[in-house]
Amino acid sequence: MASPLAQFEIKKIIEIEAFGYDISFTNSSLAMIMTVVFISLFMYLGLRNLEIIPSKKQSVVESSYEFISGMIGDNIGNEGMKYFSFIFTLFLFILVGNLLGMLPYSFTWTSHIIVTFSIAFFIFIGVTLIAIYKHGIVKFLKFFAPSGVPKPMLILLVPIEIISYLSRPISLSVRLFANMMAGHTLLKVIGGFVFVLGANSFIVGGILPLAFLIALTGLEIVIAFLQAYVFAILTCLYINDAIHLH
Amino acid sequence: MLRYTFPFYLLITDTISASEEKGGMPQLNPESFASQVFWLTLLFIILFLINHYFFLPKVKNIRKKRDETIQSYLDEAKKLNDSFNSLVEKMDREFEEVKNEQNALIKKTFEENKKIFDKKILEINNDFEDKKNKLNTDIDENKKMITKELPKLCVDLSDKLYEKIMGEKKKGNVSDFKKLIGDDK
Repeated sequence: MASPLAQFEIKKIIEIEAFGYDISFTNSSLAMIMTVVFISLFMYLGLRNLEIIPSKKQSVVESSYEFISGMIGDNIGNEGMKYFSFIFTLFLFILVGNLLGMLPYSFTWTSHIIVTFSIAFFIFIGVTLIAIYKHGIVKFLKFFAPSGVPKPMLILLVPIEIISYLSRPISLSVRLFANMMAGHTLLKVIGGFVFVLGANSFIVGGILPLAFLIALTGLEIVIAFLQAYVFAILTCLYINDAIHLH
Repeated sequence: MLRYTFPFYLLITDTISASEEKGGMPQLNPESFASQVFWLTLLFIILFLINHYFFLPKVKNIRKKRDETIQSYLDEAKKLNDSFNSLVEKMDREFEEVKNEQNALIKKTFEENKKIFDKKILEINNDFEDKKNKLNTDIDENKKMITKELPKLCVDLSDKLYEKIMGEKKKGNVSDFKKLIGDDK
């Protein structure tokens, strides 16, 4: 049985080194480029012939615009529209990265903790800077001490609040990474069953795991969308916290 | 059967050897971290810039343009509605004026006709009264004449009846007849 983790192997395509760092072009980089190309193509084709009464392609692009706009409007309000481009790009980048990973022989770059953590850490730093810039350092620090709480309780609550705040990038990144990795690993395991059982029982034995594999693929596509949505909406909530500090 | 599934076995064994080389989760291998972070940052920034400066303004503009078009249509519709309402009001007003004029005309005509009618009725009544009076006068005259002539006629009639019954002529007179009926005063 093949190792189900082999699909996450990073393979160098072009070796590049800069300032002592290995920044080789790998299968992960290729998948990311494919993601960028796919999104750009999607946007370009949708917005090629702009009409007041939109075509089907334009409607799809505008629907995604409206979806993110609604998400920001509901979770942050009008002030959040400044961050629209970032959240829109983030959502599409993760969504397409997840979905392209579902293609056979492709690579799911969202299943790498370093990638998801980098994004989540950037969001964490950005959100913290927004909060400090908007409210000042003192007011920002008061965020960790909820108002109306008895003073003795603060000894317990402040560390909890700080830990929960610091764990945001970890929870955000691990959620996406773990979901993607677990899903693809499961698909690989079930896929292995299809081959092994099918080969040993004149195909018949492979039918059940194949049906299961198809159902799981459907589920994984839903999860791909759901995780991108969760990532984007949590980013919205963190930005909302930074703007409104409550 | 093995012939058909052989390529898949090759694939599986290939992946086994690939994973065995490194061992464990490839995600935790720090050798590729720098490369992944670099390409992620680069490509995300590129995508962000493309979206922010190229695609999203286009979507924003077309949506703004659509909103403006819809608003202009709504304004135009409101204007048309207003002008329609003012026309309806004007029509109602004119209709009311015409109705009032018509009512006044009907009232005037009715009154004039009533006057003519009353006049005619009065004339007819007068005429009728005149004729009635004249008729009454005639009747009275005739009655007087008949009353005056009746004894003579009765005498003549009784003479003729006597002659027919008795077969001889006899000449009666009016004073005798009056005595007979007790009207000799």
